[in-house]
Amino acid sequence: MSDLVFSSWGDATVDSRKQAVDAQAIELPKELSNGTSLAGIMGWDGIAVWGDSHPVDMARAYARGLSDNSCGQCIPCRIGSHVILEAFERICSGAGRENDAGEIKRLSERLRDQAMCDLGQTCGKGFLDVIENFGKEIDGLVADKKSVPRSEYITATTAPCKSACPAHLEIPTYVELIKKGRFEDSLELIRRDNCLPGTIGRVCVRPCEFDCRRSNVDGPVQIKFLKRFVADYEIERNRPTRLPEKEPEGEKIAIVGAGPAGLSCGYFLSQLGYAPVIFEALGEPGGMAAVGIPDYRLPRELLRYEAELVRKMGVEIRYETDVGTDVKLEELISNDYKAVFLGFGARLGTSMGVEGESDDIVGFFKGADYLRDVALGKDVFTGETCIVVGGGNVAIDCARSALRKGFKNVKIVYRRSLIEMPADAVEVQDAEDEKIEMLILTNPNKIISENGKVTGVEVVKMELGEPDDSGRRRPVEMKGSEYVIPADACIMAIGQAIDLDLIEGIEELETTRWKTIVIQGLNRLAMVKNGVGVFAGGDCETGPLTLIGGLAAGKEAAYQIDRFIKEGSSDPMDEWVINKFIEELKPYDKAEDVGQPCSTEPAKIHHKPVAERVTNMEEVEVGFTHEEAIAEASRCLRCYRLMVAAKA
Amino acid sequence: MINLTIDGTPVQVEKGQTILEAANSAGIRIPTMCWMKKMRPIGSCRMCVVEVEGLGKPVSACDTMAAADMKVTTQSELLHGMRRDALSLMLVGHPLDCPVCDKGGECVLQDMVWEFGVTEQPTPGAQPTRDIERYISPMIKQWADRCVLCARCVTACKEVKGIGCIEIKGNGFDSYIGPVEGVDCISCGECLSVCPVGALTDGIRDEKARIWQSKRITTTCGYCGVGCQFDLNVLNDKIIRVTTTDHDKLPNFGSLCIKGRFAWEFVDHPDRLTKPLVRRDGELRETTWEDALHTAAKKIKEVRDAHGPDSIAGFASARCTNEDNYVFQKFFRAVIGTNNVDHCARL
Amino acid sequence: MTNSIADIGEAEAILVIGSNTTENHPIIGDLVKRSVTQKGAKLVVIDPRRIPLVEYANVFLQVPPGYNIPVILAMMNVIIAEGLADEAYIAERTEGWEEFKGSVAEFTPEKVAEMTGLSAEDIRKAGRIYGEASPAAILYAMGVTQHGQGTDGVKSLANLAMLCGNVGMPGGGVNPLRGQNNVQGACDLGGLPNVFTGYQKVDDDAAREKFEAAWSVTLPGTPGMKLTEVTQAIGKDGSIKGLFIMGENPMISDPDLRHIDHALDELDFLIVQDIFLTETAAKADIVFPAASFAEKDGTFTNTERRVQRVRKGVAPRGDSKADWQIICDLSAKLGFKMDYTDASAIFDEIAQLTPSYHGMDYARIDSVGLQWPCPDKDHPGTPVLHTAGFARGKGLFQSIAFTGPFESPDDQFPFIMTTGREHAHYHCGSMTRRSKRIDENYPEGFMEMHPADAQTMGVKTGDTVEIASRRGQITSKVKVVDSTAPGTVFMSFHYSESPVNVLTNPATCPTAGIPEFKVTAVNIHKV
Repeated sequence: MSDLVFSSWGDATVDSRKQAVDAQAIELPKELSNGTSLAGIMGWDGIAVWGDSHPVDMARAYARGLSDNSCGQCIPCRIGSHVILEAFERICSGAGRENDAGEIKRLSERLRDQAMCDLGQTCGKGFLDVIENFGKEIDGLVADKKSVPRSEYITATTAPCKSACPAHLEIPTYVELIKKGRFEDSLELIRRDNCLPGTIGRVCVRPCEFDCRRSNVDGPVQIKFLKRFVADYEIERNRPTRLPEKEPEGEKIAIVGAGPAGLSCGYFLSQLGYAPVIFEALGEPGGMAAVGIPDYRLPRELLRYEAELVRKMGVEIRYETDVGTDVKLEELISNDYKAVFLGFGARLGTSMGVEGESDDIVGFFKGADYLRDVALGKDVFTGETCIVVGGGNVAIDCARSALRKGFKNVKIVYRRSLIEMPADAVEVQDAEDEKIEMLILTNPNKIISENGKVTGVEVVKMELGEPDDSGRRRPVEMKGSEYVIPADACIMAIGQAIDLDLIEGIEELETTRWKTIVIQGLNRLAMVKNGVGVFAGGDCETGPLTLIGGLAAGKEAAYQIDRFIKEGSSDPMDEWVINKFIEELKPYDKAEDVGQPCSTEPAKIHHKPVAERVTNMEEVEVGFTHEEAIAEASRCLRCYRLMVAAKA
Repeated sequence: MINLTIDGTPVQVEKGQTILEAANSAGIRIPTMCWMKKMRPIGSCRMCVVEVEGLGKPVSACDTMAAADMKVTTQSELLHGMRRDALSLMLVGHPLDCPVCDKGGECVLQDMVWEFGVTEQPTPGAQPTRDIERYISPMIKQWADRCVLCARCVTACKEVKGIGCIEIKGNGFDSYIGPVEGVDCISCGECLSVCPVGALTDGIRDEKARIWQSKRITTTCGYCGVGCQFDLNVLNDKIIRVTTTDHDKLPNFGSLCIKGRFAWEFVDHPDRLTKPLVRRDGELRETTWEDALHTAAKKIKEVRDAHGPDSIAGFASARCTNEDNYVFQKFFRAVIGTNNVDHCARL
Repeated sequence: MTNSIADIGEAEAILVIGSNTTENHPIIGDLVKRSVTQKGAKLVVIDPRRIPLVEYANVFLQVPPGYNIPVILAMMNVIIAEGLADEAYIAERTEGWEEFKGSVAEFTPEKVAEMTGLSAEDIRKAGRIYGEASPAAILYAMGVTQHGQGTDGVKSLANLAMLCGNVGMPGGGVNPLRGQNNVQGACDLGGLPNVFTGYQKVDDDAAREKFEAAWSVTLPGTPGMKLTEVTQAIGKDGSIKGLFIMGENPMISDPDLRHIDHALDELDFLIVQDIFLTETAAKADIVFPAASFAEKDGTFTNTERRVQRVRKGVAPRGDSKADWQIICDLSAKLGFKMDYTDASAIFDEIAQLTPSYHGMDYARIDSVGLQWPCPDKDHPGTPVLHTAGFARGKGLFQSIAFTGPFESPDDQFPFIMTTGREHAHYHCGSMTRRSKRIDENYPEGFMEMHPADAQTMGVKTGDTVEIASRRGQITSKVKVVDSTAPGTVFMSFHYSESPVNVLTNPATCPTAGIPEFKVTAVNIHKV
């Protein structure tokens, strides 16, 4: 069947036996990013064949994959998959029985309708597609006792949440462990991919939840808070920390920055048998997570606790050692380090360029600077009214910090409307609860100061025009609507930038016009000099982005560094390649009817009362109780899916 | 409160109740194998599938919450077929050794296969390869081939007893229940008491009896002060097992400890005193009740007459029944005439 | 227990003190674990040993044996200092508060930390956990009572519970966990020297007259001697000449066994009624063979005051008889007829004479029993005591002066030994050690010793040591574990091969007469 072009993927029906088509008709990626070309895939959305691969053999491989990956918990999947596999094995080896196809069909229907989780359910659908479309071929194979050639397959499992997570945490499994009350096992599993579970469980932007299939029913599983719960459980109950095993320390690797990316890279490098050394400009770990996220959202104590665990894994952290000032990057590359990972953050505040901005004026701050000064316990200026400019999380952080530092009135000035505000809706709500005023569709024109002190901000009203490149409606100034808001402070929280002084002098490092470091791709390699590989990830590579992205990049870099040193190869790891391929297959369908009744709303995190929280930097959110965590975890649909891809 | 209908019957339940709980409260039976009231839903057996109007496919009743205005159907041809097939799959690789299985006659699988009319064992050749490790308690025997992996034992061990020394190991067809490394089993037998089939049996006595051959007498445990309720399984006037079948009963809800479940062999220990003894010539010798009681009464009388009733003291017992203790103190106060009665509450 | 077992599941915080719950009351231990792991209740454990429940605790205070009282006082100090006391409850339901409050003032966490070697911060945490939670339950056992100041220990816990308004509400309470199946019943049924059934005092004329009328006899009106007084008296002043022991084995379970051994020899007669020829029975002049729990009908009253049926499953072995039957037979020989047709008839007489059991009969308790007080036939039983008020009206705060244990380590006896049970065995072991499969798998006891001490002494697990106290010496194998603190060793008392109570101190708590089993100064030598 080498000329077959067929697809039942999604809603597509492509069948060269019915209508002449070529492979182009199938809108699926047909090769991996490492160049491996494929002949077909079978997965949660059906089966597609365009090259030299037999659909029945692919189904056999799929059954094998299911049998190997079935968790053993429910009957239709645990045993059904085995019976289906045996039938396919017989058929493919020319020993099929007459009723095999019928048996496969019946058990596949059970699998689809009765299996406990989505792994079995989606696999059932795939087998049924095969029976429906290739039933005659199977009958022929059985009648003629003909075998089919075996192809080579790539087998992978995924889940919408897992695929959406940059670090590809094993979310369905660790959530299931929480459901079973196995909190410590859950945390142990999380730590396999992530060294800051308590941190990320507080401040993650949670791409996983946006791709949670439970949202199609009654709201996403609160994955972030569940992670927080198990991390807190360990601390509250004084449970022994279960860290991954580490290899004896070997070659030294230099890491720039003890932020999430750097810590993560060190954490995995020590597991791989290296002696990572992190160079950190600040006197404490966490990088921008420490000085860019206020304590009331992410207590520093927790961050220190988790960083201490990374240190215990054998990662050396040299504090107050600023690369670029105290030690030159050049030295690290040419010294006795076998590789270097650049994982520094976006520590520079940026300004808008409006009239009157100056760091010399009392009461004027750039957002990142303000948050850092507060975090480092500096004596920050406090007055009556503070204007915060911006609509992102940093703006909200600045506003709520300013309130806690003693400003009576804090107003956020944002040029679009609330709907466009990039800040997390939850945090916007928290800010509003704390009586922070939102001046939307307003933009600053001028910072007004007298005698070196801010006295007000002149703003202009805006209205929304046509959508811009980002799809958001472009704000347009309303002429003549200017007015002055009296204030004694103004914080410009409109973004941060990378401090490229750190890499000064290394001509080979390519940077973008957004001042970020350029890497080759999934291999995270930025350059090789004197045989030393320099890798990069996190904010310095992506621009100010997410904590989970930094953690993921650190992990990826660690494995690439290992491959670079051991194999001399800069090929990306297969895992990243497959993850990327799976992402392209879009495991999450927002429009899918999940077939569950809408009967359990997501659990809500608790907040300290406003009056109690706005006077100090103590954490605002209070984690789930055990019962809440277990109930929330029980909402998970365990949407594992299987994919096999035939190599061409 | 939520109103829904199950098989056409209006049912009212509190929010947060599952479809299964709602059905149970209305007296509508949905077949289950892994579900137990005292534990959270496991969801492994898939026997409790029901149809809900408007949903594309059946859902499991044990772990799906009831919702307002839901219309649930618990019996249909589709559901019957699904349940029958689930049972049929449970029989794959299951040894049909019912005649020699301890659980014969009170096996949930046996009962359900019978109920659903499953008369054939599909692909009888298939046998899972299970790495049989010695079960972690010497008190309990594991028959891995009889296991249907309902995970009741695993759940009970973790959730009810807070131990978690067993887990599902391996994947797919070859999965099995095995010990968790580094977690000690306390031999409480909770797993044994919740196993629906004969995969876990106790290893105390060789004598066995079918449920209809032996008597089950519910009584109160004689060890600590919790007062657990259990059933003495009696065959020919001998205890052959201690079981708990009622998992809803106060105060222990079917749970026991190693002592309650396994430490009853003393009842028939050869050391048991079977005859009264009286010391004669420095040695305790077996005698008749008449002689022993007479001798005792004589001694008591002698001492009481010579030294007064307060020269005699009695220790009642925290091990004996209320009735025993009542009679004992009455004997001392009313017959001997002293309040010198105490017992080992203080020890 | 003031509350019910199932009630523990309602507690927001649980304080477990002097109770190795998972080993001694496994089902309650499970419930504590479940409350903690499934419901998130907070747990404070106060114990000299790192008992299994410590795994689940938010705070563990490894108190030196004999120092419960100062730790509780310090917790109360914290609760008062941090404004966590339940002022409304104190005002409404208690008295003696002001004076009591003053007595707690000196016991700051720092001071008690110094006395006990604990961390003041941990004591604060423990106080806060108990003080902030509502309701909070206290579970305790012999680790509180088997001390020279055992009664004061219990009073301290009562003070603590009242301080936070935790008495009389579901999920709260002061809950002694009864170690033996029917300690509660034996006490309820008048197995005490000063009271008839239901704690009706023998020196109360009205009560006595009631019993005299019912039994048609004249009854003595002065309280008798306590068990520990009896055993001490036998050898010393000869005031006790005859002893009748039903179902007890003081030759293993009492302190200072050598003394007991001699004392029993002094008696004019010793009658023992038991199911085995125990160490005590072996010394008797007359031994009556009794039926075991499986061979008779009756009732036990459990630790939550629930009266439950015991049912005959098999016939009494050999010529053995139910204990009550033997007594009735003996009574007849002494000319006093007690003609009960069966256990149910005795229970009816109990119910008739005992207000707290008055509403019960076998039919009513058939299924799940009833918790006393149950004053009439329609009464549903009482799951929680003191909901409306205390027996005496208002709860009295009683100031406690801490005096410390009788024995402290010194040059001659540098270790402190504490005792307890293991999960697989029970008390003197006469039942569990005769259950073949149990004894096969748990055949011997060990003296548990901290690795630091083991290293100093050059012993390892499995070595035999000689343990001596002021009263005697025994040998035991050693198990090196870090569950005890350095300087403290632990032994269980199940094994007659290593009869721990040869070593223990017979000195008792003056109020309750409970010996100080939990604190014995010993020295240890490698054999």
